[in-house]
Amino acid sequence: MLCHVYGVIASTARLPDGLTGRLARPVRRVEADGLAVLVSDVEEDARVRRADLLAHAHLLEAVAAETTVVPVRFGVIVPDDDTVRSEFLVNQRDHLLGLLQAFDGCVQVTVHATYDEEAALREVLRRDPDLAAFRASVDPADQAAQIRLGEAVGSALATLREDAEHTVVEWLRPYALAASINDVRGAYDVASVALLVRREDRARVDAAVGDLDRQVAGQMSLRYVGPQPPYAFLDHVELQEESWA
Amino acid sequence: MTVMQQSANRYLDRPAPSSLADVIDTILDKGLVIDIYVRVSLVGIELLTIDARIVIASVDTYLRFAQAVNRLDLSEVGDAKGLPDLVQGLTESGAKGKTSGALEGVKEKVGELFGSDDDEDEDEDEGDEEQRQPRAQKKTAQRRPQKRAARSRSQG
Repeated sequence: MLCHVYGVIASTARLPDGLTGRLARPVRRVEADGLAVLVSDVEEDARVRRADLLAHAHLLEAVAAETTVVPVRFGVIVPDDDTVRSEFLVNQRDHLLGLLQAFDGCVQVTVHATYDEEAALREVLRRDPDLAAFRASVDPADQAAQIRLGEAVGSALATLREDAEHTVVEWLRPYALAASINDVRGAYDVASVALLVRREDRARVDAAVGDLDRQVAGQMSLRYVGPQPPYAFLDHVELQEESWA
Repeated sequence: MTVMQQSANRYLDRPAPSSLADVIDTILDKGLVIDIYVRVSLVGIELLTIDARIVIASVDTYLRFAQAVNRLDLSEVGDAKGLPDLVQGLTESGAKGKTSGALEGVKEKVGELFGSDDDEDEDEDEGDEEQRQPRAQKKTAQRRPQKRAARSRSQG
């Protein structure tokens, strides 16, 4: 049976009993020398479904709620426990220990903000009287003029988005050890901000997100995800091998 | 009536588990990879919810914006609290001195471990859909196609 790999924790870390992963199978630890890799059994030809993606993500979140975990990207399937040991616990040992130490006591949370469409459009018209006048004067049947109007609105929305992202990020940044800004995808998406926070600060972070949610109510809606492994910050750790000795 | 009260109190007070939309930024994009053991093809996975409204500079998009802005009933303009008010509210009431000294201490510790630029991992995501979403390919191809090299590892 192959091993689906979820992440790596310190072998001293305690986890709740009964954690499950893909296909609701029990997650077990493959341990060596202070590190534990979290894996579950998976067949060679197992298909990947949405539920598999969510199971991987949710298992890592359940672990992150308890202890520091270095996440493994979805889709790493290793032939057997011995290979897990050699690839992760021997070959990656120093790297993993460094990451676990760097993120000790920290967890990621992510805040997504999306502008309400109507509120966003009202705001860009409020900000730019010329645009509002253009809208009022344009002929609905004039396709070229409509395209120019839409282009102007799109440009104004981009500016609004930048300002709103700044607002969201600056609101949250004081509560985090680090912040990482993801690109956003939707026309009215404002910000997607990953925050690295200390576990003991989580209540304060929750309160700050709740305050922000109240502040922007009617304009933006927030989605608040976590706790997560420190996905967005893994590449930012500059491991200095000497200092980990 | 009960429903309305609930919606009035629906402000976020704690984070929730991730949804499918979140996996793009997390388990499909980040994390430790050992290339030779990546076995999963993501081609068949429907992630349609994610590209529902990609921001694309196109005539279609402009016409949608125009239609949307034309639908507004401007007699109501002026009621909403604008962003400038919001920003002002932030400087007046928000985030003042809520971080503790202890936090500062750890900030120093962690500060040594992180690059100075928190934003430098922005180079992700919005082109991803072109590999899984054939119908979006034409529109997204213009957007930084060169950065997909890393992604291809998790496609195999």
